[in-house]
Amino acid sequence: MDQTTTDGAVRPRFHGTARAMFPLVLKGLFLTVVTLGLYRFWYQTEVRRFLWNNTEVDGDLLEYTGRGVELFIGFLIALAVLIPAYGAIFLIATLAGPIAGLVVQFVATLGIVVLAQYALYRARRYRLTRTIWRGVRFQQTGSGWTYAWRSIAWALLTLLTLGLALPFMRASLERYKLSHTWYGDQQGAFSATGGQLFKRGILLWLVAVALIFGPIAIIVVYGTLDPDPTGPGFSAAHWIINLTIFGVAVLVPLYLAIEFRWWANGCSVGPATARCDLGLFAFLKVYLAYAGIALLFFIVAGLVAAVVGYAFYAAGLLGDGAEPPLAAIILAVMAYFIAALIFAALWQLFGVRPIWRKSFESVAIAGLGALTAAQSGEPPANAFGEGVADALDFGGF
Amino acid sequence: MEARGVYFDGLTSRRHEVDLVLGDMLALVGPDGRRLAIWPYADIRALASPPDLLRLTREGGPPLARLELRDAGLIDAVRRRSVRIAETQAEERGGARRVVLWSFAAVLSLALFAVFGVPALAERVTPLLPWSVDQRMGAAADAQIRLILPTRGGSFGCGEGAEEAPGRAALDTLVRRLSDAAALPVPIEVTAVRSGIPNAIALPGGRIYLFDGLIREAENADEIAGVLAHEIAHVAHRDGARRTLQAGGTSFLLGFVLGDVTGGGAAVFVARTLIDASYSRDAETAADAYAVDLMRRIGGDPRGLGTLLTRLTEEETEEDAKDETKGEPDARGRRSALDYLASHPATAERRAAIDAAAGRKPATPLLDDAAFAALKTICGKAAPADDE
Ligand SMILES: [Zn+2]
Repeated sequence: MDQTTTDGAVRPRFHGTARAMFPLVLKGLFLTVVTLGLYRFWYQTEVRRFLWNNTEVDGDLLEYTGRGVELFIGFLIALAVLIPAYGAIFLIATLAGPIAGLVVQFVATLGIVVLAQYALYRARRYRLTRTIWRGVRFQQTGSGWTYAWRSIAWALLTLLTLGLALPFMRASLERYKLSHTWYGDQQGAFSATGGQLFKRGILLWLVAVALIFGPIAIIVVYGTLDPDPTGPGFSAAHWIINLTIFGVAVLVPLYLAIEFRWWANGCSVGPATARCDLGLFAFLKVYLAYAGIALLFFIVAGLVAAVVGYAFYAAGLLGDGAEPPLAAIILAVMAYFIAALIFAALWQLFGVRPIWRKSFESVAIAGLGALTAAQSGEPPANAFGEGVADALDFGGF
Repeated sequence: MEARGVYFDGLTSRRHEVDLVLGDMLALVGPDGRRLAIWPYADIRALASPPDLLRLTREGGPPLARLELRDAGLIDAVRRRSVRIAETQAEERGGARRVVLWSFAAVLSLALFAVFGVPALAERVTPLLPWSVDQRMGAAADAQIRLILPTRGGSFGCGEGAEEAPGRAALDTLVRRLSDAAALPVPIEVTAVRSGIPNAIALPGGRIYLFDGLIREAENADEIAGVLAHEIAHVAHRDGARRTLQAGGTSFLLGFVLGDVTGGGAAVFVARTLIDASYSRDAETAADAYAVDLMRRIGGDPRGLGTLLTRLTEEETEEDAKDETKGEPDARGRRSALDYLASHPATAERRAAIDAAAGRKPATPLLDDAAFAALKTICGKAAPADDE
């Protein structure tokens, strides 16, 4: 069943196929749209259940015990906290003068960024305390606020050093997270260093700097952007910017693969240690495959829309300068929602799922035989962090 | 009857291969013959698991105790004996179903509140706000418009240079007469904007933009005064503040509930435009009535507003026809985005109402010919090439 390497290390396996995931994703997204988003907490729970339940470590599957209603309550708590805060900010900003208003806005933005980091940490705690393996729960200790301030300080340093401090930021934050992670009574640890990630990532950083600052240098040397859209300078600059965007789009999954491999190699829980051999292009391949599938769908959907639009035009419902009838507007809005829904479904099936699979299957865990944990006495965490993350429009799995 | 399963006691992570003895109760027996657990069938509950696996727990035992079965015959036998095995999962499914139903109801009531409740609230709250709030909203909108509006390379406001100063003086004469008669608690501040769009906009708190494109369409000063009176009405009725409150309230309400669903922003946008469109009709009618009254008080011809509206609508229809043959929907789309004076669908209706209210009282022109000629060139003498 498991691939056991020569030194007794065990490779996790993931059994979830796109075919098995498809009905779940379709139903979940449909109900999410129909309920204007309220079903998303139950949908998210179903997706997590699928991912966890199909992940096998040393012959036993993970289990996700979180429930939709918990996420929903977390969201309600987040609303109860955030709505008065937003209202107060809005009121102060309108009543205060323009300069004081700017100060209020800046403070509020900073507050939201800190709160977001806090929420991410709390959300991780929720997910860990809902993750069961062999009847024992994971756990996270540590303070969300400590983590939030730490990550803000590092983020500022990273900005000031144009990203050169990023590996050390990642190492510091992951060290904090892993050393506060527990499997029952077994403590986690993180041994990878920022220096290692720096060495592996510096080449990518140089390419990224060349990609971003090269065009700027060219524009500065050869004069400003030509504002005439038909002029040669404009189209050249246009192409350079397109190339930059494309280049960055390729670099991001490469970096993510490097970072994941570095991260997994540093993780351990009790006597169990991980080794990771994720390929440099593993994530890029997933993104390309998703992009290909999405593009194919886009072409098909475009053709269908063109045919339907022409049918309307031929029937005299559109055109001749009159305002389009309400039915056509509703139809267009519905088509937009359905298309967005299908793109989201494709992303779950051909983005999230393969990334999950590749992440787990690239790891080999040694020392599992010696890992015996006793259940931790800490109670499971509530979903406040997940709620805030949801209300502020970000979040992970 | 014996068969194999995997048991975790929920206290440690030790893995126990167990034999199942299906007697009065379910007994889990370790390899050494020791009974690790005895589960009454009525307490056994199934949990979510992949299809080829049955994951069981015991209600009332350690919450994370697990028994995992893969053998189909064994799964069948346990299922047959455990009468309440599906209860936990059924409860959860029922919960999810209730969520779907109630969120339908919530969505409906929220939509009704956004469409009817928020405007009604904005209606009640707006008169309670101090005028300084209108002025601040106006200042914010002013900064945005100055940022996005193309002004043909010149300054935003016209009437600054020596060539344009006489036009400014003529406009000031008109504005002074109107604002003295209106006597609003905030000063009226009219800017002639260097833009070819034939429109005028009132911001909350007294700022009014009169676009060069509209000035060039006017054939006498009373038409321009009529438009200004209409915009002063929007300021006096605090329509801009109401609109801002309403749009802010709606997007605040919907944006929060919609959360991060794909396309949530689009839904908010659609809702807002629909609400704005239905709202502005009443406000326009009221503003027309106010404009007629104001024009009569300063002795001008109230019908000028209707005349200018009709001229603008006719021209736009012609241009639309032109655009259609040229296949340029862009210019039209951009025009109607700002244009809520001229793009009103029922111009004929509005004109009839204005004429009826205006009556037959004789009027003297508000500006003499020289002053009107100066006003026409407030943004320079050269006619603008096609605007935008
Ligand atoms: Zn109006």
